[in-house]
Amino acid sequence: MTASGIGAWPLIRVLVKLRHRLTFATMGSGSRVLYIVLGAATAVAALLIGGYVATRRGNPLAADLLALIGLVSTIGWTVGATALGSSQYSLDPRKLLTLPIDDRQLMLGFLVSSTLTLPSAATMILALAALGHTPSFTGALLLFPAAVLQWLISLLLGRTIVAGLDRLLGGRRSRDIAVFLTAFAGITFGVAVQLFTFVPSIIDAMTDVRRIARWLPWGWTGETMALVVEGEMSLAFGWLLLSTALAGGCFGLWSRLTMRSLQVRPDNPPAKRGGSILVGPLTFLPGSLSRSPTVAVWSRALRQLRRDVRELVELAALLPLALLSAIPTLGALQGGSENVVLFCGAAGGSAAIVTMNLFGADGRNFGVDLLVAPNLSAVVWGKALSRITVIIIPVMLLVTGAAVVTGSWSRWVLGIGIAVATGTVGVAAGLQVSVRAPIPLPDTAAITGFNTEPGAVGTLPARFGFLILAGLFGAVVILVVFGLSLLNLTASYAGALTMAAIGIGVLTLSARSVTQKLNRQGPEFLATLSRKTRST
Amino acid sequence: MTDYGAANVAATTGQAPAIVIRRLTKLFGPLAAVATIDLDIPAGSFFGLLGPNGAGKSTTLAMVTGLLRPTGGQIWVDGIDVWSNPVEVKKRIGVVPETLLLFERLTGSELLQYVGILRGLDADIVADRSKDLLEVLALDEAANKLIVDYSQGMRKKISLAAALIHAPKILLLDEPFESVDPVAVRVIQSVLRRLVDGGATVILSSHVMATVEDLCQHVAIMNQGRVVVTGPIDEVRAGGRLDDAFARAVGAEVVDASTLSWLQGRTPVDEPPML
Repeated sequence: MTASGIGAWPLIRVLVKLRHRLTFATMGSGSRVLYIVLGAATAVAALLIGGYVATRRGNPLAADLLALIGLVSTIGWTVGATALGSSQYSLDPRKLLTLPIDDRQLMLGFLVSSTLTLPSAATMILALAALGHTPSFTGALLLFPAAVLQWLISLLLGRTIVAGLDRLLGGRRSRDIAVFLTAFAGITFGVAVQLFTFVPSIIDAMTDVRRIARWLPWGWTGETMALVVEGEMSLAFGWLLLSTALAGGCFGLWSRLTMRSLQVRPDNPPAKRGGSILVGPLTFLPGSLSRSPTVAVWSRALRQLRRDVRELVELAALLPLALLSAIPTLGALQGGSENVVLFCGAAGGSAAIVTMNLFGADGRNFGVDLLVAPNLSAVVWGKALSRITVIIIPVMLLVTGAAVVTGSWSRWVLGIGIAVATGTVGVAAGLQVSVRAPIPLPDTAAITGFNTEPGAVGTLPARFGFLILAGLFGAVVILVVFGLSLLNLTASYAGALTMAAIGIGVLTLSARSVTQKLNRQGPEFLATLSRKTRST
Repeated sequence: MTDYGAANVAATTGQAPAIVIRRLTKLFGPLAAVATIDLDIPAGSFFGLLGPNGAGKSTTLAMVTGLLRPTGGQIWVDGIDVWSNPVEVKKRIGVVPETLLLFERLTGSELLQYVGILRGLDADIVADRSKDLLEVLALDEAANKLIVDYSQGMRKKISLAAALIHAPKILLLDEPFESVDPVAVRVIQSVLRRLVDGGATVILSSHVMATVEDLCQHVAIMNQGRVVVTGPIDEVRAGGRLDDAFARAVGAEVVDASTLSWLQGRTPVDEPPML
């Protein structure tokens, strides 16, 4: 009467097919092309770096470089897994729990299906590039498994850590911290990379990094390869054994922890009753303020940020801009210029990115706002304020950090002025894009790099258009303040203040126009947000 | 296949029940969602699990189907300990959980195909059964539509089809008729009756007393994590109606006239202008 179950290999084959079917079904044709192009670009980049390493045979830096590449590869995957969380499988294992599949086989199937992706392929290419340094036949016998292990550990270590910390990372407090840390880490990294140029000798730095990395699980495979290149075969064999044990241990632990966490967490855990409408830091607000509709929406939006992992992924978009905005500080830092603060202030432009899809995760919930709010102004301001709240702290830290580095506190005020000016215009642009070109986020938690709804590509012109406008304004702000600072400091203060005032004015106008549009076309906007596919 | 627990149960009950639950407990922190319950579900029967919201029905079904690990107690399905041998149990059961876990980006037809193959069925058999199920459940026209575009009722039906594709010995349904239109309810009921007529056991949780009264031969009423009444439906309703028996069992309170008296007053709104 009943089926007999499925074997291990057929299961893996079906899961690989299923995963790819789901990945491609989620993307529109435009997104698919974009995904393939960017994936190919990543693979080519990996090839180039790998090729460079491979062709530099005999390079005295080769061993340290291989150790460093191994470290960066495994840490990169760990950071990625932590940022996206353990629930971010396009092939959600919860959906297969009712089927008669052995836990170990299921997890093996997941692992294999997740290896057949472009980032995984790029990692593999990078790892295999080490073979270009093969010193001998014995060396090749050690280098090849080390490269495969590096690739496997990259895929497994982060997932294992995330699975182990599942409960902790899934908690809202942890997500609060994650939001700030992610934004802050991006900006700090941008600056730190530039500080690296102050290190007198790159070779010494690499050796120092390797010396520490060899004792960390993330650095074991890289160390194996480095030792092979140095001809230390017996030592390399020892590190290879350690790496093999690490990969095996990770798989076992990851399988166990994942299955256990899936079976102890109910779909709808009993909720604690009571509690304030306002979240943590907002509870101190005076009663009259907390009764304001804007504050209520602000509070609700902050709650959503803490609860909805899709919002966090959207916020991760802050990183690229944060990094880019910090790049100009390179020259200023090297020259010891005080003007570094001016450039750091440009990080306020990140606001445009993080407010570009304010309503994307709202879906049908926007209908509630339409029903209860006579005027959607509170909704617009409340939601915008929630994103501003999130980015204010890293921007302040960046500007202050730059002031500390350069010892120029007089420029701190200018930095803040620029951050306010560019930040407010960024939010203004973000608001326009949010309403004119919203991208409804998928209902499920399956979010990958380009796993947006079909039709997302169609909104790109509007997105880039407003981003360019915001960027131009940012450039104008910086040029004006910088130009005035050449005259005298007071003039530059006045310039920064004026630009900040203009920015606030632009934001107010933008919020007003967006509110008017939403009040007028609320039902149409709701239909766009709750759109599920292009066919509906 | 039958292990010690089930043999023991069979010896004490005189028959081999489809599901045997002993001292089953589930704690969420200090809250006991299921508080040490015992339950026998006769094989080949239509069994209704009733209870108000938060009574512990869904938690119990999730533990029986291997989706949620119990804090304590044991469950045997078709004589097999669920948590010692979950794969063997899952081969015998079909499940429609309360929260439908479906691959939204597959079409209905693809979902059935993948589920059938993952259950180890031959591809041709899967194709034939999928066609039959989609037709009977009136999903044939939506077979090539993505599930994300399905209505709630259609999602229930495709979930039921996925649970039936391997012709399970025991089918467990959590609120199967919620959000389903009356025509579809009749269709689903006839499919379930057919399954029971073929010797299978169907366990469903529901709030709709009329449906349970119509379908089930045995019921259990849960309240605050405990089984308060269980037995053949005629015994439970004791000559009266099932909803009265239910209200008695869970101690339902009637809203008196003084409560929400403000609802009878008029909301101060402006009178519409005279035209």
